[in-house]
Amino acid sequence: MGLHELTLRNFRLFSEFTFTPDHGAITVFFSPNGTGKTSVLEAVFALATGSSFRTSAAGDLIKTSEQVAEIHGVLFQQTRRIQVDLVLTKGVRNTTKKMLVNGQRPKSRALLSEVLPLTVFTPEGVDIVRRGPEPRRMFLTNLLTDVNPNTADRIEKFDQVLVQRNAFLRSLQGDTPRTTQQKELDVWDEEFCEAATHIIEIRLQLLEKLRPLVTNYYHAISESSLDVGVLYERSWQGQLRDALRDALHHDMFRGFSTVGPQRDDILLTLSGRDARRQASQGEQRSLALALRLAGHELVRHERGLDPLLLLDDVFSELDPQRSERLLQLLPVGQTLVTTASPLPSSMNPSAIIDLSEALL
Amino acid sequence: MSYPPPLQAVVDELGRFPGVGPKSAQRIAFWLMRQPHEDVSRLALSLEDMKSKLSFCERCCNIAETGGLCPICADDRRDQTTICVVENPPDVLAVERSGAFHGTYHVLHGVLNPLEGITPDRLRIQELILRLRGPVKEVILCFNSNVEGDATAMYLSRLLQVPGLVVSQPASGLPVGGDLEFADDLTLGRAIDGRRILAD
Ligand SMILES: [Zn+2]
Repeated sequence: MGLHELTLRNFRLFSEFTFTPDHGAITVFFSPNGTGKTSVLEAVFALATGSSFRTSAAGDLIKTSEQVAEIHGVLFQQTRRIQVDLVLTKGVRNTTKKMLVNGQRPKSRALLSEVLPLTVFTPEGVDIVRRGPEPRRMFLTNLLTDVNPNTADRIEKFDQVLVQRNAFLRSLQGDTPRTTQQKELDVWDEEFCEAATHIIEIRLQLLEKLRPLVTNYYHAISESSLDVGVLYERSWQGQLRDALRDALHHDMFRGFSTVGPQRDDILLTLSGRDARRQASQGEQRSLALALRLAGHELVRHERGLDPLLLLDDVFSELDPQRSERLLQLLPVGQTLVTTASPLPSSMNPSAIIDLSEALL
Repeated sequence: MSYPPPLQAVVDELGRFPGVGPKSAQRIAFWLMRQPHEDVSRLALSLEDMKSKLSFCERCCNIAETGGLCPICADDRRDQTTICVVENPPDVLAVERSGAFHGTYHVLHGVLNPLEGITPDRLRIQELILRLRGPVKEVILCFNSNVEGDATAMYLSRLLQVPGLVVSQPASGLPVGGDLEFADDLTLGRAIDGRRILAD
């Protein structure tokens, strides 16, 4: 398993750039003016997930004054060669994405998680502890499919039911549903509850496995023995079916569903304190690292393979001790690193790629 | 700048096609403009011919000759007590190919889809309910196994709770998210044979 070759065309600042990272080794990207490094990792991320880790607007990925951006990757899974192509095209209103795996449109996200599971460390990674629930839900969703690609079907099904239920709520235009509409709403509610039950079940199972790993990694990084809590927080109380009914009036006006797994969260605590509000910056950073490391380890354990590691400018945010401890805890596997500061002394890259020429 | 009115009229008409935006409509109109006159006349005639000769079956809403029944409804060897409800006319062909079904059909011309504005009153559901006054014993709900197909099956199974009527759904085995139209004949046949009862 590994990334064998990556080609970027009109992606961010790159006109054309190809590189071939070593398997099972560390490749470092370097550019003196500090631009473009992250784009390389962003391209790998986009190839694996179809989205960017920096911006939600796909149009930003296309080079200024160009209409089409391309990312081509060649991967190896044992001896199987897999070609993944992502083409982004600027349209009148929005940017369209076309993803091909070996020349075919993948049926679901599962295929991408299967061929290219990723673990990403970025300076913004601490958002998972500090910010609102979105980064935590996204972490859970990506980890679920990386740990078990078969879960992608259930996740997609829930997303589709949610989209349809929300469209139905908007179609009511704020009016109380008439009898026939109520019958239709009942159907979407039931589909919603069924799909939601599946999602929550697999999320809880994942957290059960993740929890002890997070604790161990937190203790190793912070050299403390604080009690670490990783708790699933539902966005409702009692039965989901009842909560949907109680929220209906509110949801009709807002045009979307305000209770359900799409609004759930993970409560992270240190010795019972809410880590989001009551932890120090250092504690928050350690906990964010521990979560990613735990996810990485879980994928390795469950699937017997090393996810590709992306380390984007991580060491500049960490003190030297935390940097060294992070490096010691990271398993060896294929790793792509960008850095603006000197690398920790114990890191031994197999290649250092200077991007200044590629960006001319 | 706008086009000469006869050309603009074609662009406007093509722009109403499903999945055809203004850009595509223009492209197709220009393409038609460049074709030999007789080719375009043939297209116009075939459209006119289709609409004057074909309509929807008065019983099952499948495509049929105007003012009559489709060949399946007209065939008195078909079991009139069992109705297989499908989304679209091509699904009828798929179920026919499986060879597992000998009753009649009902074509809804869509499934519930709030996102695309498809509500129950846009589907041929009233026509189906009227048919239940006849000698119908079983209704098989045979939709694609996706979110919209599942929701439509659930909606109908509740609506069709009539004493003495069995409502069933093909056994699992249809490809998830797969199109009925492309399901292989053997799998589809087996799914219909092993259908499970939703309501009776
Ligand atoms: Zn008919």
